Amino acid sequence: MNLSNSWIKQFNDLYRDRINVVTEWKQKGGRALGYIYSHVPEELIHAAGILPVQLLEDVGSVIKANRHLPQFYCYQGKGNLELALRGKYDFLDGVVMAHSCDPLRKVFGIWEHNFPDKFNYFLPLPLKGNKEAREYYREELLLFKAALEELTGSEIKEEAIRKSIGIYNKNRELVKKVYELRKALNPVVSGSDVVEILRCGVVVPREMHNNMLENFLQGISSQSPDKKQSGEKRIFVSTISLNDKPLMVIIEDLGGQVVLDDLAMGARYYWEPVEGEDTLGALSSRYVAAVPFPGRYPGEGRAKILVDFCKSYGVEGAIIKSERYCDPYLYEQPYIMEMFKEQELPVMALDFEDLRAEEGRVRTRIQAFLETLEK
Amino acid sequence: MTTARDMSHWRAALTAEYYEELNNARKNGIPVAYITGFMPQEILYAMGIIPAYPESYAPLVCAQGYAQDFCQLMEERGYSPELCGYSKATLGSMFAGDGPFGGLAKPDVLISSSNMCGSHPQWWDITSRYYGVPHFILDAVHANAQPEERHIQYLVSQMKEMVHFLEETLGLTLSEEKLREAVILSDEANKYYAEILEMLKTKPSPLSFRDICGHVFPIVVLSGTPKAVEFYKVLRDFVADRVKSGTGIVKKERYRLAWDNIAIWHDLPLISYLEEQHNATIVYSTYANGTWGQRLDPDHPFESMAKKYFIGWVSRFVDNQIEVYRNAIKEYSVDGVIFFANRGCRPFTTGQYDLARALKEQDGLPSLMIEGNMADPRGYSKSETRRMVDEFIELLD
Repeated sequence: MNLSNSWIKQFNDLYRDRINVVTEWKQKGGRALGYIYSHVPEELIHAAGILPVQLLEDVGSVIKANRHLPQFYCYQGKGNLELALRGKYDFLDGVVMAHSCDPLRKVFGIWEHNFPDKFNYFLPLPLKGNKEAREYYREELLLFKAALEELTGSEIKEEAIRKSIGIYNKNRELVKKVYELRKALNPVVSGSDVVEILRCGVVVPREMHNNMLENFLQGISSQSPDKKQSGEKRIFVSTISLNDKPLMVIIEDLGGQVVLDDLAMGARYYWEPVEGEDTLGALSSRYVAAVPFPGRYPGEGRAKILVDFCKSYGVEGAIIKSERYCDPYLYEQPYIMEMFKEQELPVMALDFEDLRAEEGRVRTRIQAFLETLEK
Repeated sequence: MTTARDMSHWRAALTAEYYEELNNARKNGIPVAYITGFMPQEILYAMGIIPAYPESYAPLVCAQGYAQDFCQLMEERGYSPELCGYSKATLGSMFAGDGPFGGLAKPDVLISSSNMCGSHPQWWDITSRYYGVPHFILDAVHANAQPEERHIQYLVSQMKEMVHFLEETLGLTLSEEKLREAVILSDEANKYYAEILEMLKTKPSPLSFRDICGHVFPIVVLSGTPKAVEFYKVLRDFVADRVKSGTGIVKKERYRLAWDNIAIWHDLPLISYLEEQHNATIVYSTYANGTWGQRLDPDHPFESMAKKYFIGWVSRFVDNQIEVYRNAIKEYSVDGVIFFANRGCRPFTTGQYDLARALKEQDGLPSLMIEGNMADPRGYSKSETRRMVDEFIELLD
């Protein structure tokens, strides 16, 4: 049994209780806005006194959303729309999405059409990170700030933005420390644990998450990791969703150790802090082209980041999971695989839409891959 | 007197001439730039660069029956069957080193844009790695087809960066005079093109959608050259004559339809089937009407190009699309819409269900949803589609 289990349970319990947490927040007069993926400047929403809540498509079958999106659509877009249509996001005051990918852009249009009375906001994120792009996006953030002020009826003070940036940067720093723990030969925290920790952080007030992380890191530091190698293979998993914990669990069940991930709201979101005197300029620079998101970041750059990352974590095998209808991942997958092979890192492509329905096949494939690593 | 057949022959000749020029470009010292549909090609023509369009090449790949093999080849190389149909057809052609006109000529530079579709830059990246040529991304942010000053200024800065990239990479320069010339030519071709589509508002419809699908070639590929102007001027006059004499493409037009999405390139006879079997004409389409036909201002070339290239159909949110549609169905006297749920183009397809419902609820307009892939013919049934069309037409009575 993993040493960190009791801590992880706290994160899991809080995640499960998230609607109550948000409701409590709202009862105190606060507002809450949903957002998807890693390009929405949560700091600005937080500075407006609004709780940003990441939407996680934790849904079984998609039924209602099939009346709005084609069958051949990404599970993330469909799942979230499904939950919204089922009224599961009624507690939110609206949604904010950025142009993280084209499918999401189109989903936003459908969302605003079906929920016209809510606060719906789309951030037209540039693809590039040059000076003009950063300046353009700063202007967009200024408009976003004004829209948030109109929603709350009060001005967002510079001091508040600075404070929020501090809280979110602190969170990034703490999460990075959790990732650091995974560099150990036999990490005290597993890949599925990390997903629990991250998943909780994006749906509850970040201050709360910071406190929990601090306690967790303090508590865990007293438990010295087992120095001897467990014999389990160190695995990197590229996947989008924080709901992919079951995938991590399968790998761990079969004797793999997930030491690194490429979640949309994982390492790549947490790695770079927001820095700079001009707060809006700093936020613009952070969110424009700084997050190595597929399709929004040069393929070569992303492949290099992933390979280097894997090397620094002593990864012995990589599992690249693509979503069946996620164009940004699908276009880069063959190239990423090639780059891993070039670096002699064993790599496997994995594709599934709904793990619940396809678990048997997925298990068999992962087992076969882990066996090849033994040889 | 000009006939429809003359126009088709002319267009075929323009196509052959263009691909010959493209194939001889290297020999003649003319640089080739791959670009995506709907971006400022006027700049390229002004700089003496010949633009090549994988997206315009893809329909040829499909129409000439290469698509199935090329799509399979892509899958053998580890690419998903669910990718954009055009990208499968043209990347497959590149990997195979084969296709219509011997394959699309090797590029010297690649220019893509995120304007219409997020897949373009990634698709171009694959091409860039394969040929080892530089790739420039013209970053156009989302403006919901209602660009404001900040959007326009950003796109203008991007176009200027593109000019700089081309000058540096190819050792060419852009003269103001040449740009003005190309902008005037492009504007003129687009003016005639818009006039032609406008004339489809008359009953009976004077031009077949099947012809339009073919006749978009010069507007896509040759805008900015005199060839496009000459072609559309004659086509405009040809259509105007038909309008004047009340000549329709079917003897007795019974139904006027709108077509949503790109054409099914491997089943263009579906359009003739509608005309011949049902006396139904397609008078409006989000493919032909939703994209080209925008005017340019030679006194403000960059700003007007920026405005033009922001308004593509795919760059609109659903509410915006509904508004455009509602006007169009009145203006074009549309009786029903065929929505082509296109597996080969998710961005074009997303939103169709909400659109169809809005048109039904607000204007009582019936619609049909058919599924397929614009490029990949596998899994598509011609007879099933025709059966669905038959049932739909019955409903219109």
